[in-house]
Amino acid sequence: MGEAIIDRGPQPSVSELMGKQVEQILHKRIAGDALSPPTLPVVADRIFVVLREPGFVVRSYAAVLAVDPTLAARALRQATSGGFAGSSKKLSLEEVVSRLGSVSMRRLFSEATTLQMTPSRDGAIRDAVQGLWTHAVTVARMARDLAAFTTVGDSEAAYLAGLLHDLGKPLVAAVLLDAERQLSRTSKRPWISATDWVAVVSGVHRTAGAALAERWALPEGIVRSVRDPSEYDNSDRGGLGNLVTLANALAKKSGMTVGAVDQQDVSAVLMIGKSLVGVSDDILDKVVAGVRSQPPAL
Amino acid sequence: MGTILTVDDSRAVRTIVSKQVKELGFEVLEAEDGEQGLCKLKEVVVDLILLDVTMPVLDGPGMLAKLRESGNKTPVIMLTSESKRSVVAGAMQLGINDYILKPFKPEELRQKILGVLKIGGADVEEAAIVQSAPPPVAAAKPGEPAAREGRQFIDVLVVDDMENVQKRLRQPLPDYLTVNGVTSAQAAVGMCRDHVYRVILVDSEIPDVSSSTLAGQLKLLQPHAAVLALALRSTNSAARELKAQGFEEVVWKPFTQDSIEDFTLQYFDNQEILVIEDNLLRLKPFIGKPERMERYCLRLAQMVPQLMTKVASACYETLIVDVNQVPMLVERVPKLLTTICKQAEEIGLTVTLVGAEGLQRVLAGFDETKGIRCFKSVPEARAANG
Repeated sequence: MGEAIIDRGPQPSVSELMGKQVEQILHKRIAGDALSPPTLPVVADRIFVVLREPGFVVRSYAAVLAVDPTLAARALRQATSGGFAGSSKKLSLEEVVSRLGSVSMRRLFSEATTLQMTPSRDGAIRDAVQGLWTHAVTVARMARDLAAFTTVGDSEAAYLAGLLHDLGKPLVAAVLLDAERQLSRTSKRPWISATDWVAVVSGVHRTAGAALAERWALPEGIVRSVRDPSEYDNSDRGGLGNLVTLANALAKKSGMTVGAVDQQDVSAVLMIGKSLVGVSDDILDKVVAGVRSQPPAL
Repeated sequence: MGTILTVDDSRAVRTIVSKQVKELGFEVLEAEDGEQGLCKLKEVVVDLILLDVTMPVLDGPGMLAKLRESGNKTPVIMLTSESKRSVVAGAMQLGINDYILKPFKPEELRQKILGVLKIGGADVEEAAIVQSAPPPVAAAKPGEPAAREGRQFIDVLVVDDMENVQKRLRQPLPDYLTVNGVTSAQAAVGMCRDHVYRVILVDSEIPDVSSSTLAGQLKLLQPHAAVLALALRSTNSAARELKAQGFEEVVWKPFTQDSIEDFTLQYFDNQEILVIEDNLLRLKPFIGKPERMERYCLRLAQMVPQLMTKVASACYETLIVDVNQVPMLVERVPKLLTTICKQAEEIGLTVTLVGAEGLQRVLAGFDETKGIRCFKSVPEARAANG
């Protein structure tokens, strides 16, 4: 008699297995309020420059937050807690900095410089990390310009919502980069491929980002964007979330993203968004042209 | 003009849609659900279908699938309160041409119907409105957005939270330049959607606004405009910093006569220098520092031959040149007029001048110009030339 063949179904892929582990790590840290997302070295360099400036220039501090989603989220968390809790005002980055003031901002920035991400040894992963930040800033700028051109919503608040829409991605990236760093100390085994790396980020970031946004009690419009920026809320056509959804689809359609894109899906989101937000193809073209003419630089 | 089928289970929606579609000049057919819609399409050929999603008997996607299966490729606009991307993505796979979310504005329905049917009706109508409106103060160059889109052309937009700034700028600027002023970023964006500007001045310190971001947005809306910063001369590096932020130039506050002259010359030098009416060439006044007079004369000499050709092409024999507004500088104007006369002679035109009393005296002093006929006014010159 031959051996019985047991059908175990499809085996989970490397990215699925690793994704589950990363998800568990992140949810545990978020639940325990033990998450300290590191900063990109290039952002840390900018922080040093600002900290050396004489006086407290709100714009300089806001300009650094404008390129770092996790740092911006940390600042927003502080600016909407304590005495400001429950305020329904949609904030811009400059308002966040103004609310926190010199002492808190300097403390936040100083802390950020102590924990920096270790760059990957794999050039493709380094590019992907850069791409995550670039996409966040791209969506932020597109959301801001869409708000300005359509007079739907506040444009600077839309920037912040756009910047944070993929809040989970830098969190996942940080865990993966840390794992790579630790592995490289103890083993010469090759790390996962850039494709798997991006797949892990794509598979896990949404739940991790939403968990963090909820845990940090970020404003409702931002939590909604982080939770699912691919569906519109047609009960609030001018809401920040809808602008971010449209901007995110526009960035993807224009190739300003990392990872695979379902073009059919993105086209549908754009088609809905044009009617829901009330924006013409001409304006969308201008928004894309604006980002292309001055690509986000970290 | 054509026929449009509206398929919607709501009588109210069908009524509203029918009214608006009829106003566009289309015939309208109505159906309460997908089944009825398919039946109508067996009887008549329509140009466009406006299709709801959720309906009894047969829903929109169901009707669309059957329609396409049968080989019918009539354009479809989905008109629905459904905004789930999976539903719309599915409909896109079946070949919808556009999408309108309920509730909708009549303008959106109109634009999308005309867009899908590739009818330029909207443009034609808007162009007619523009033509019947008072003419813009300054004419846009050919190919500039004003000409293309029928938007009003304005020379300068000033964006500064201090209202006094626009007043201070307006005073020294030549009257022929049109100026708009706004005190907020939102108003600036609104103005840039509705008008076409040649130059936009943005204050570098507007409260709660990133001026460089605003400048970038305005530049997107006004790609032909020069976007300049308005700033206080605070440090030596201020101009460099503002240019690094994306501003093309800086205009310093408070304004001086010199700085406004420089600004005017740099951005409006080619405006109104020469105007042609039939066979009459009006030379417009020289504005600026005396040392720039040479450049003004040179530009006139370059521009005149092109306009002269137009006069000759229209079969005029005489070219009337009105120099009333040109300062009578002995060493320059005769030279300029000599050039014009030579060029006119080459293409068979006779030159007649209109100018102040002293003109003839000045011209009589030169061999090249003493023979030119000179009149005090344009009507006199026209009468003399029959």
